[in-house]
Amino acid sequence: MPVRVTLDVMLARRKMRARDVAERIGLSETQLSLLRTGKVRGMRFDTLSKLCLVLDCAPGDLLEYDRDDADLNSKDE
Amino acid sequence: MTKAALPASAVVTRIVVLVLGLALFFDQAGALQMLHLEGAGPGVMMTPVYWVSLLAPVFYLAALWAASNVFVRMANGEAFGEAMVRGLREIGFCLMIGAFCAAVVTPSLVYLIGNRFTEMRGAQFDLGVENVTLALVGTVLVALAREGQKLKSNLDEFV
Repeated sequence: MPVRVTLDVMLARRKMRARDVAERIGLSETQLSLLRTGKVRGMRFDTLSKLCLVLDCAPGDLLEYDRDDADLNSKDE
Repeated sequence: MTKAALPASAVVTRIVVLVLGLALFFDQAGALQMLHLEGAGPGVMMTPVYWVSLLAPVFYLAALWAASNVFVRMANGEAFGEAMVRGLREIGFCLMIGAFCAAVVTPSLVYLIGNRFTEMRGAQFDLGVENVTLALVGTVLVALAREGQKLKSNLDEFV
């Protein structure tokens, strides 16, 4: 998927541990690990908001997009 | 998961099931003259038919009971989607089995009992509109439960 979660980068910048962040936003460590490794289908807005609040950043700091023209042709599964 | 008191909707549904069950018992027993107080007679001979005739309605009542279980699960804290999917599946299967009993099992067994298991020429069918409709409704509910399960799996992949 061309949208990448750059949570690891933000965690390193803020010098925070994933476990602490997971606890503060109410996710399990496993869920946060899946999110960090991009093994989820998506992220809810409320999860994104909590991450932004805890990491003091904006959504764009947590997500990156790698341009791919084929995206226009992709269908919902 | 904490156990909550039975919700009113579940209590009402279960009371309805019990009342219908009793009504079914007396209705069938009356129809088959089982309650004939003079004793010997056709009623006694037809006792197996009585039990066979209960098969399908019992599954229909089980479907209603399964519906009440949905309310109980939600009251116990189970997520709406999960409780609904399980409920739909259980109700659907009960209706399907009940309709199958009404359409095939009961007529065949009644036929066999009628000739004292001496003759069986293929299965007997009662493909009345109500049996087929209930079977289809059951099938649709099971299919809906499957779709619901798929949707739930998709949603679970979102964090």
